[in-house]
Parts: sequence; C-alpha cells; structure tokens
Amino acid sequence: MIKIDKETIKEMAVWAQVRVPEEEAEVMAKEFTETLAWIGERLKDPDLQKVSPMVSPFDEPIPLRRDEVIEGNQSQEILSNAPDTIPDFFCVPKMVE
Amino acid sequence: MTDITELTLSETLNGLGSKEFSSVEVTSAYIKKMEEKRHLNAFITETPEKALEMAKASDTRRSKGHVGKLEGLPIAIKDMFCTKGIKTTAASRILSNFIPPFESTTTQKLWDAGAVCLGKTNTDEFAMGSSTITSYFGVTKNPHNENCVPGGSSGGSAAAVAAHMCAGATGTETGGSIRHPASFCQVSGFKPTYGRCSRYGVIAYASSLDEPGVLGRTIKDCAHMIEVMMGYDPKDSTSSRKEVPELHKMLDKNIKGMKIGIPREYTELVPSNWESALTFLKERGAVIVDIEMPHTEEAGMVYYVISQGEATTNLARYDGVRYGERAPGETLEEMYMNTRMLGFGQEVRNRIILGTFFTSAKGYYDYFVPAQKMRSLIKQDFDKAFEKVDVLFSPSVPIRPFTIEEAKHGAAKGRFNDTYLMPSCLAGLPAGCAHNGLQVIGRQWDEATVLKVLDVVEEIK
Repeated sequence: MIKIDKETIKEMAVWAQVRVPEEEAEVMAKEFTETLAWIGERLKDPDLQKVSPMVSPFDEPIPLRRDEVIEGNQSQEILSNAPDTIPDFFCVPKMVE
Repeated sequence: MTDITELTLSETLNGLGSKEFSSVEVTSAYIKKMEEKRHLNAFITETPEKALEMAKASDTRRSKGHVGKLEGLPIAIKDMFCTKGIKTTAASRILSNFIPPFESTTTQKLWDAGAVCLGKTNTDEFAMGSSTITSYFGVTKNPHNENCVPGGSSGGSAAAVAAHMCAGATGTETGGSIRHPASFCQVSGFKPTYGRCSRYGVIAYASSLDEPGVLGRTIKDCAHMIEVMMGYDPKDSTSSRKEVPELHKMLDKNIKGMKIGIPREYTELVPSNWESALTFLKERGAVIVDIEMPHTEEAGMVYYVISQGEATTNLARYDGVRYGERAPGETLEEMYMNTRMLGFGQEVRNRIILGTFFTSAKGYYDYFVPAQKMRSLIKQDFDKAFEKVDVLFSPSVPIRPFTIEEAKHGAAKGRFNDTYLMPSCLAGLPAGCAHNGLQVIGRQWDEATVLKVLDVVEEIK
C-alpha cells in the first residue's frame, strides 16, 4: 500500500504552484493515504486487464484544423483583462538582472 | 393579467407568438422577480439593462417577421459560460474581474435564436461541488427551504428556475451538476450526449467530462432550449457533426411498448414515489426490464481520479499574467504562487494538489490509467444494457436536500449524493431528470427518446 507523507503533499503543492500550511499537509497526507487505499482496492478488478483506457466518450474522428489565423489583430482585446501591461505586452516581475 | 413569470417557457413562447405580451413585458416581469428574490443569491451578476436592450431588439425583430426559436425569451446563464462584455467568474476570486472578449458557442446560439440574457448564475467554484457553498460569492439558498442548499454545482441556475427568476437557464455537468441541483430544487434538468454541445467558451473543469446542458420548469422547456444549443462547432474538436432533431416536437407522450431498464444498483435507496412510478410507467404501456450494471459503484472512484487529474491541467492556466486577479510577488514564481493562493478557494486547491499526484509519474500508471480502464468497464455496462432496453430509469438523487450547515460539514461527500448521476457522465450519455427527481438515461446521441420518456415521467406525482 502506498503511503503519502506530508513531504509528498508539499512537493505536489509546489508542482501545482500553491502552498499548503504544515498542519494542513499533515491532515491531507493522512486522508489521501486512506483514499488511495480505497482506490487501490477498487482497482483490483481482473477485468481491467481486458480493456483499454477510455480517454474520452467522443468516438468520432477528430480532424486537425489548418494552422491558420481565423481571428487576428486583437491584441488590445487580449490585453484588456491583464493585471499589468505596457502597450502590446503582458508584464511580469523582473526575471533577469 | 396573470403573473407572466408563472408561465412555463413553452407557454411564454406561445404568448409572445400570439402578441399577448411583448419581450420587454416578459423581461421586465422577470427583472422584478429577480429583485424580489435577490436574497436567494442565485445570480453572481444581474444584467437588467442588457436584458431590456435585448428584449427591445427582439420585439423589433418580431415586428418585422424575424422570429427565432427562442425569440424574446429571458434566460439565465451559469457563470461558467463566457459571455462577451459580461463578467464571467466561474464563482472564483481568480476570475472575479474577468470580462471575456469573446462569447461561448452555446450562448451565442441562444442569442442568435432570440433569447434574452438576464444575468449569470452562481455555482460552486469552477463547478467543483454539489451545494454552491464553495462559491467565492457566497452560497445560494434553496427557494423551497432557505436553510438548505440548492444542490450543485449549477445551484444558482436551479434556484433561479425554481424561484421563477428566469424562464430557463443553462447549466454544466461534469459529474451530475445539472441533475443534482434540479433534483434539490424540484425543477427539470437535461444534458445531451458528450459532443452535442460545443464546449468552446465554457470554462474548463475536466475536459473529457464537461457537458453544457439546461434547466427548466418542464421537460418541454428543456427540449426547447437544448435543441438550440446543440450542433457542430468547428471551434471544438470534440463536437459532433450529427444532425440535431427538433426535440420539442418529438414529445408525443407515447411510450407504449418501450423497454425501460431499471438498473438494480440504482435502487438501493429509492424515494417514496418509486413503486408508484413503476406502476405508472407499466400502465402507460412500457415494459419494465431488470438490468445489472455491476461497475456502478466504481464510478465515484473513477470520477475522483479523472476529474482531479484533468482539473489540475485545466487550472494551470490561471497564473495572474493574462487575466484574472494577481497577487504581487518579488519573483515570477512567487507571484504565481501568491496569485493562486489568493485566487483559488481551499476545495479547488486541494483538488489540484491531488490531481497533480494522479498525473505525476508516481500516480499516472498506478491510478490514472487504471481509472480510465475502469471507465471503459462502466461504459460497457451501459452498452450491454442498451442491447436490451431503450432507456434506463431510476431516482436521480434519492436523499433530501441538506442544510447549508450540513453542507459545510461535508454532507455532499455522503453516499447516494451523486452515485446515480456519475456513471452516465463518465459514459458521456444523454440524461435528465424531471421535477419529481426521477431520471432517465439514454443511448449515445438519442436525446429524443430520453426527453420523450421524461415528458411522461414528469406526470408522476
């Protein structure tokens, strides 16, 4: 049985770009370990070996689109919701000295 | 004159058609009702001015003989659908100031058919939940008992329909989010086959599960709206080119000889009207068939793994750079982290952390892929059932609506809350429930039969 410790929770949180307070990580680790045990039990079905994973319920062919501009020249609209901009650019905190 | 808001959507369309009243009159009546019932918190954003403007335009069109399928009809939109120029939040702080520069395909189809937008309804944050308590904008109250939740995640839409604050509303389902609140608020709800309604412009939660749908006061109301929303969209690669039937014309009340399957696993807990419901259907000429769906109980686990894995991927886009609220930080990473801590509620954060595990090297092959295989087995249960029957019939949510206090203490995690709803979402099948809480599930692409049976089921007390 897989055991999730609070270090794993904190590692996942960093990957997900969120923070988990120490005490919350402890509780989450315990609950998640129990949940994974429950999931593991349910995945012991021998029939699982006989089927392929179902990725989507959509079973029609999915055509690729042509790589072409349909609606262009909308930089002002695209920038209109950004928290910080200069003309034609999104701004983020400085990354290089 | 009678209160226009008491009419069903279908009756309102008739009244507009016979010039009994204008769209401006109907829209004004609904705006008044929205003001009266504002304490229910069904709407995140009300758009009365826009609604009156659209209503006037509709009346002008009608006077010139241009009459769309939903001409002049005031409706509400779940705040998961992007609406151009109207704030769209997904009930999250991270999108609390987001004004989409584009329109979702399904709402565009509604406006093209002449519908009028009353506003945007409340939901659980990013549609993750079944109570609306995780909304950044506060919980919605159930119009039938204001101490109770309306269900969810489309709880604002269900409450707005139940309280006659709109003629009908859109919703979305990922694991039952239309049928659940429809059942709690005693209204009708319906979602078509996955691929029928474009997902373009619908804020993504779990892409292989998300499906737009509708809530209305009757099944016929739902049929009117959904047939407008369905249809091919080149902007969504999982949108079907199949022709869309005129669903509202197919409700002929005739179910004679129809084979209706009762999945044994869906009757472990049943409401008090269950036995009389079966008698009713037999009296109407249906043949009741006992069905086995052995993988039903695994649906909750499969949903948990797949929805969280997909949500993690979808919610990675909220970084405080291009849109949404930003929290400052010294470095780029710190800004991302601060933004996502401020912007996401705890339920959403927890789900994306666990989803990160399911899509990581540690979790993917041991949990995510096996869950997708189990999804195949759940789908096969339906395939086998539909070799024997035309539709499946069961309760939707066989428990009473829980109170807001109970919801805060995890009532939504209880068994039977969504047990009978999730399998059909995983299989992507058309499904709906009537105001009496009874549901019908159909074959892929066969919305017509589901609605036809529901139209009869609706008569069950």
